[in-house]
Amino acid sequence: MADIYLRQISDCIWEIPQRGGMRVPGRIYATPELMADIRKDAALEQVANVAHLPGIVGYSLAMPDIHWGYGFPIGGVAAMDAEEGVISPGGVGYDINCGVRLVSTNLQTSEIQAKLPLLADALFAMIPCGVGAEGAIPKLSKSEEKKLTTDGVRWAIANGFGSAADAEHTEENGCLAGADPSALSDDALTRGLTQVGTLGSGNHFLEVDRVEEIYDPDIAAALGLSLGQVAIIIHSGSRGLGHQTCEDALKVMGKAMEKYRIAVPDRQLACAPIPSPEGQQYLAAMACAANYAWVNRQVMMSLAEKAFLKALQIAPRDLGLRLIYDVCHNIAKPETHVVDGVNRKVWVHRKGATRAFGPGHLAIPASLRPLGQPVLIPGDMGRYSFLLVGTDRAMKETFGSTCHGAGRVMSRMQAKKAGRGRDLEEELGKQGVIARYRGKGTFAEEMPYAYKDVADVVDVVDRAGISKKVVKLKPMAVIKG
Amino acid sequence: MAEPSFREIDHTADLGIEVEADTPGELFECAGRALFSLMVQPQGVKAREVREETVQAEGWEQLFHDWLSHLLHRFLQDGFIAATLAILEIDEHHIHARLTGEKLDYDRHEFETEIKAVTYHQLSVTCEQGRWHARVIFDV
Repeated sequence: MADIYLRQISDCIWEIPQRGGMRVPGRIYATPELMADIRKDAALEQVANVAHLPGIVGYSLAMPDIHWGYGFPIGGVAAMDAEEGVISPGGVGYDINCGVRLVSTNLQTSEIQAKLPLLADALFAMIPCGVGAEGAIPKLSKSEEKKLTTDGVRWAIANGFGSAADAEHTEENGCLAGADPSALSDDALTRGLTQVGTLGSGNHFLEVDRVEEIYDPDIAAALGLSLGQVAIIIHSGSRGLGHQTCEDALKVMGKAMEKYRIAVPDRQLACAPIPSPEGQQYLAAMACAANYAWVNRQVMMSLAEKAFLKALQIAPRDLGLRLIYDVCHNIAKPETHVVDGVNRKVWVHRKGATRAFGPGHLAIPASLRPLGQPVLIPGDMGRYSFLLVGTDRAMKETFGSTCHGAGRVMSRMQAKKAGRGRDLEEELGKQGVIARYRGKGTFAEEMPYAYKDVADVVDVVDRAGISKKVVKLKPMAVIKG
Repeated sequence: MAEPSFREIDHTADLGIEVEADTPGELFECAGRALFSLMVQPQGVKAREVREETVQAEGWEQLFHDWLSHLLHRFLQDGFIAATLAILEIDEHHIHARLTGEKLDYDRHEFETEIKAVTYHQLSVTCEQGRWHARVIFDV
């Protein structure tokens, strides 16, 4: 939408001035080069649309990986006053608590290089992925599933998946408060029943990486990361249970909008007042789905550990698996932020955006608190991913938020077309990455050439000071659905 | 009379379809076929089982959304891909259809794209001069 008027505020910040029904201005973090791309679709109009939502405070924000979404743009951040604002399931997304975790090991790249194909095979055999794959917990009852959605990561740990320290290194300690399984539909529970510990398909992945570059040696050392060290990245979400919860909520919200006389520019922005029964019901269900997603990633981490031990024939102590941090990038959270000089309770929607709290924030575990919250930004499966930390500036400017990934540069069809007649596995091999996957089509869609360079995105948030680069990770093996 | 047809909306980050047909039954049948073909290449999908499906909703748009959602859930939940879809009954409030098909087999079928959900974004079902049109965007 080239006709959206933009004012450049600084070298990385652009503003959409308040106009029409907008309650606040919009602000986008991007370089002029990225902005030229962003202007090609309707994402900026969506930033302006979000600014229409009742109770929005500060700015309707967008991170440099912004692109066209449904209702909210992907890469959008919006904080709503907890009393007067609305909650919008579209501002969270279908895949509630889609997120990533970074796990370190005691291993050096040289120790596993020769066994990488074997390791990739073991991971692919151990981690259920693709459509219809059944989870690691074959006989889960619905009552146990409900418990899982209220307890989050604690449930996984109690059932033998991981250790107590893992919870502390997960946002919200791996359990979002207010979860009430009675707010979930039976369909949502049914869809979730067989999918605990499954990767899914599309852009979800499990990767074996090595630390390739260190930008902040002090923070890297404090996190226990050094050059050449082997790490694991897991990207997945709440699977069918989350998708169904969003679908159920959109129907309820559609009716709630008439009841509360809320008008929005796009049906996918459907919302309800936060304190209303409809709003509260969604939040209770969303928390369940968020907890499900954390359990899902926790179980897969545990399965990955088994695969490592089996493929490398080493003891758990030698592997030394340790969760650095787990972040969600599709969520709404109750937080307190300073708005116009006053502390306000808000619900921050982050849709394709990551929490990035600055040093000293009490939500960060004590051991990491002086560093700022670790933030993992995955790139495509060939190039690299980045570990960053949150900053004070993010607290002041973006409700403690930053970007979440690379964003596509080619549509799925274009990517597949570009891949025809090429040996994509071999191409990825030349980039030093071994791949194991279920669907050829999905694999072609996810090739590195289909994505923007995540380094460009990360450089903007680093330059703008809303997060700080710590480490670059290079994939060596990838498992996909 | 023209054959029902669909066109893929191929956007950088999204996937959708535009469908047109002479009757609502053809429109819904064609949209169902299109949905499956985006997920799995239709060649080689065999009619190994028969399923009857009923969906109820208020109005054409909601029915269209819920119909595609229903088919998507059959796929995501059971791996079911339709080889044929026959619309037995349809009005503004319900659709009753008979599907033949089989379960996804990664060895025999070419899996294309994982669709996560059917969105309401720019959803439309209209009838102009006797020709039915629909547009829908999928979450991928």
